[in-house]
Amino acid sequence: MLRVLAGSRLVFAWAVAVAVCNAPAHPLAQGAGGNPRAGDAKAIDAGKNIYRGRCGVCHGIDAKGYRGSDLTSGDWMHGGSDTQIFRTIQNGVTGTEMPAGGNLSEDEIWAVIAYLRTLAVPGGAPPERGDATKGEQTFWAKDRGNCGQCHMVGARGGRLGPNLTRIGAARSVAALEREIRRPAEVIPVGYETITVATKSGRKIRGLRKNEDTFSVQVMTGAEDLLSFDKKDVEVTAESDRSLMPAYGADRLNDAELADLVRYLRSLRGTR
Amino acid sequence: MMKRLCGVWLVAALAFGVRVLAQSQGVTHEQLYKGLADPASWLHYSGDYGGMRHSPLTQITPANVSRLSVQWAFQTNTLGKFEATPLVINGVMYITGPNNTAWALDARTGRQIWTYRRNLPDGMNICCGRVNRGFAVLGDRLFMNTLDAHLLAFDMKTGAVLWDVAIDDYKLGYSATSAPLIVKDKVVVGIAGAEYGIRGFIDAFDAATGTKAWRFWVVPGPGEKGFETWEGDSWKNGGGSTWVTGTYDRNTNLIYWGTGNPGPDLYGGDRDGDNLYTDSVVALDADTGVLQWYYQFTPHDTHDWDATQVPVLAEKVIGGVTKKVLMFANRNGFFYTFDRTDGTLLASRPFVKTTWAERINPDGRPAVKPGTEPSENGTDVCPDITGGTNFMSPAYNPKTGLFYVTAREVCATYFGWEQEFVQGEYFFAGAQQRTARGYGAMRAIDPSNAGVKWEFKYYTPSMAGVLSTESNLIFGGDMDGNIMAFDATSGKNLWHFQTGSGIFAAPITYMLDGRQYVVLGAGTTLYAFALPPP
Repeated sequence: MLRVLAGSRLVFAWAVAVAVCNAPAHPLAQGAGGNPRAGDAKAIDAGKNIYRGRCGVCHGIDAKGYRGSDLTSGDWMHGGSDTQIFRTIQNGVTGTEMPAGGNLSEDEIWAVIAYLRTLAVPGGAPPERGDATKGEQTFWAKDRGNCGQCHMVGARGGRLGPNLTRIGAARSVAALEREIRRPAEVIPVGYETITVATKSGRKIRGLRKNEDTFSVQVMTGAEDLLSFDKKDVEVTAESDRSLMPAYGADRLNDAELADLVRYLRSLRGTR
Repeated sequence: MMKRLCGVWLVAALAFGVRVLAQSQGVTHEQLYKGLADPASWLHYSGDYGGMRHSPLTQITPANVSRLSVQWAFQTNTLGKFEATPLVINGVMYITGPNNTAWALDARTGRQIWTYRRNLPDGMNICCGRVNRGFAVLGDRLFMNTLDAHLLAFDMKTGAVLWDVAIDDYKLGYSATSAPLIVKDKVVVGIAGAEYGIRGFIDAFDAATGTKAWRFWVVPGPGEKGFETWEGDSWKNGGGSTWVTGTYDRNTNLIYWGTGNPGPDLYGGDRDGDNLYTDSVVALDADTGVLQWYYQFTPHDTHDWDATQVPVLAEKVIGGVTKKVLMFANRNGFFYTFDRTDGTLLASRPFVKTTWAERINPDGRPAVKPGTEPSENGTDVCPDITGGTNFMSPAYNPKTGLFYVTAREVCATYFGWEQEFVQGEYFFAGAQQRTARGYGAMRAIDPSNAGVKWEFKYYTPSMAGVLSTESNLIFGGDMDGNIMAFDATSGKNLWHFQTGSGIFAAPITYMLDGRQYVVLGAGTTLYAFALPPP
C-alpha cells in the first residue's frame, strides 16, 4: 500500500514547532545584569553535575562541542552575557536542535552558567579561517560542493538534506568540518537512509521522515513524499550510511573546506 | 420508606431512559476484594488487589476487535500527559491528570461532571514529570497523592476536598505521584524523590480521618536491621522511593511493594554495602507495616534501576504444585517468580538483553559482571537507565498462564562521578547516553521458568501499560501513539489505532449498558473505544 502524502501536515507540524519555540520567555527572577551565583563554588559544582547530565549529550561532556556548539571558546552565538546565555538555555534556539528549558529551574540555569564560565579557554576562540564569499561559490557550484542540490538556504536549494538557513547558529566550526568530511557519524532524525521493498519487487531508497510500528514515511531522491503500510513492504535501514557523500580532501581541499565552513557559519538567517 | 421511594424512582427513571450515574451507596470492602469480578467497575489502580489487570469481559474478541472504534474522547486542556489508570464506579469515571488535576466523567459519554485542580506551591523538586497515576476509592471517598507530597480525600460526587494531610515535606525533596492502595480501613501510599536525596518509605493513613497509622522506612535508621548496609551517613539521603502502587493478598495479609534506587543514582562510592531495602520487593504486614520478608533485585545499584514495578499475584502450578506466586518484571532486565508466602525465588531469567549480570545465583544474588559500573569516561551496559521495563503496568492471564509486559531493548553508556549532597539539588551523580535508538516490544513470559514465549516488536522503546481480557486479548501501546490489541496466545497483532501521542498510561475495560468499553489516556486525551452498537 503506497500513499502519496500532501505536504500540508508536515508544514503544519513545523509551524506548531516554531510556534512553541517562539513562546514568550518567562521573566527573569533576578535584576539587571549578572549571574547571582557567579563564582559560587557550590553553584559551580552543581552546575557541573547538571551540565554533564543534561547538556553534555550534544555539547560534549567536556563542553567543547559535538552536535551542539563549543561552549568553551567564548564565541557565544546568541550573546555571551550571563543574561543572554540564560535566555538561550531557557528559550532554546529556534531552527536548531537546542530545546527550551531542559526542565531546569532558574537557579539550576544560573548554576550551569557559573560552571561554564570556569571552562572558558584563555584568549577565546581562534579567529575563523576562510573566505565566506568563496565558500558560498563552492556551496552552489555544481562542479565543486554542489551542496545546494540537497540543502536549502533561504528559498533556494534542494530538500533532501537539512535546511541550512540558520546552520551557523547551530554548529561550531569543528562540527561543520566533521559533518562535511564524515556525514554518517551523526545522522539527524528524519535523514536516515532506508530502502522500502514492495511485494511487487519495487525498491524505493530515500530518507526516513518518520516511522512507527505500522507505517513509514519516506522522501525519495526525487523529493516525493510517500507513505507505506509496513505489513505490505520490507523496510531496510542503513543506519551507518548517509545519503550525503563524504567530502574527503580529494573533493574539497583544506582551503576550500575552510571557505565553505566560513560561509556556513555566516548563515544565521530567518528565524 | 425512603428506600422504597428511591426504588420506585429508580424503576421509573430507567423506564424513561434515564441512566443512573453515582448512587448513594459507596464502594464496600467486599467490592474491593472482588475487584474485576464486577465488570461494570474498575476499582483499583491495577484492577484488583493481585495486580493482574485481567478482566472477565468477553464481548470484544480476537474475531471482532478489528471493528473497535472511538466512541468518545475527553481532552483535559492542560499541558503534560496522562500516566493514570481511571477508576469506574456506577457509570462514572474518575481520572487524575498532570499537576494534580482530576475529573469525574460520565463513563458512557465522556462528559465532565466535576473537575479539580490543586494550587501547587513553588519550590517543589520533581524529578521526572509532573504526573499522577490515579485515585483509590473507599466508600464515597476518593484518595489522591500530590506532587507536594500530600494525601487528599475527596467527596466522590462533587470533588470537594474532605481532608488534606502532608505525607512529608516537599521542601526536603519529597513528592508523590502514585495511586494510593486501600487496605482495610487504611490508605497506603508511596513516595518519590530519590533524585533529590529523600529517605524513602511507605505510609498508611486512616481513611476516615487522615491520621497516620504506620510508616515503613525503606532505608532503615540506626538500630534497625539493614542499617549496617549503608556507609556512614549515606542512609540519610539514601533514596528508596516507592512511586508505583503495590498489591495486597487478603489471605497472607501482606502488602507487596516495589522500592526504588539508592541515592545518588549512578555513583555508589560513598554508600558501600547492599543499601537495603532499595531496589527490592518488600512484604509488609498490612496492619502494622512491619517487614515480613524482602528480596533485593539489585544490591548496591548504580544504574538507577528502581524496582518500582507492580508485583503481580496469582496461583500458578509449578513443578506439579500449586504455588501462590508473586511475579516481577524488573527494570534491571530480569524476570522473577517468587513464592509470595515467604519470598522463595522460584525462577529468574533476563527478558531483555542484560549485560550487567550473568544470571541470578542459587543464593538469590545476581552474578554481577566486572567492569559494568558507571565511570568517568563511560561504561556500556544493557539495559539503559529507563530499564528493561519501568513503571508501566504488566498483566497476567490465568488462562494462558502468561505474563505480559512492555519490554525495552535499549543499551547505554553510563557516566558516574562523586557528588556531594546539597538539599534541593539534583542528586544523580552521573549521566547516560543511549548507544543506539533501540526498540520496544510486547513480550509474553512464562512465569514457571521465566522464559519469553512470544514478542511483538514496537518500532520505538515504549512505556505503556497492558490490559488482559478473558476473551484471549491483550491490549498495549507504544511511544509512537498506537494502542494495539494482540492474540494472547500467539502474539498476533489484531488491531491498532493511532492516538497522536506517545502512551504512558495503561488501558482499562468495563461494561455499561451491554457494551464493553476500552479506555486509555494518550497525551492529554482520554479515548473510549467499543464495538459498533448492536
